[in-house]
Amino acid sequence: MKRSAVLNEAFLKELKEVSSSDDPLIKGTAIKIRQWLKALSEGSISEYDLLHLLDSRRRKILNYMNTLAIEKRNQLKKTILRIIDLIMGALLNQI
Amino acid sequence: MERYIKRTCSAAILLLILLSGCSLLKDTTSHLAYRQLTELKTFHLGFIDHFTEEERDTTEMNEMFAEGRLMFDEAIEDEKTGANDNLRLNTFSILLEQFTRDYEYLKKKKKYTEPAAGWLKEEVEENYTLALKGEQLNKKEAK
Repeated sequence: MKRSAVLNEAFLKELKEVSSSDDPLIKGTAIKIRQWLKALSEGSISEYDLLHLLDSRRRKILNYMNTLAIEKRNQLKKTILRIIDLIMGALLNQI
Repeated sequence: MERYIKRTCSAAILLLILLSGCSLLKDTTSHLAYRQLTELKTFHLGFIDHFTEEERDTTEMNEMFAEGRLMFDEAIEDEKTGANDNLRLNTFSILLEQFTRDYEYLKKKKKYTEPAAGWLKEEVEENYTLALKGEQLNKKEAK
């Protein structure tokens, strides 16, 4: 199994776009995910490590979402949560 | 008339005592939660450090988790019997969930590697920082 498999998906471009979001949570998370993916591609963390980190971040966002208005929740769902779910799905297929 | 003034004064004093009591209670619970969160943060980060790079005995892992779990349980119980603030209870349960997940990861992988521990500690630290910021605001409001 190639470590770069996760990186080759179409969402990588989307992740880059989201990294310039005005929302600090979306932007911060996107930047962090790119750093984790880089660490994965360099072999410093495993797929399982990445899955654990993404899961932690995902739960943090979900908890934070409870305090937000519906419009803002939808924005998070359409952007960063969707990307996290895609990566987690790809990882689960690999592990 | 004198009786009326005495009664009014007594009522006013009683009200002041009650108000200061409420303020004191809020301040005390906030300080307690702040202290507990600080201790839990140190313990949680120490837990990750302790199992980084070195594979240790499963018993040690379980005991350390049980110790941390007890700290969380006490904090939640103190909150329930104290201010019973839903937001604070939710915060404790979110942090406990993270701690439990980190333990489950450890049960499966036996240890954290240095890079993975570094990233994970950033996530965990951020969670506690947010919770502590909330308590700092509570303390300011109570003053």
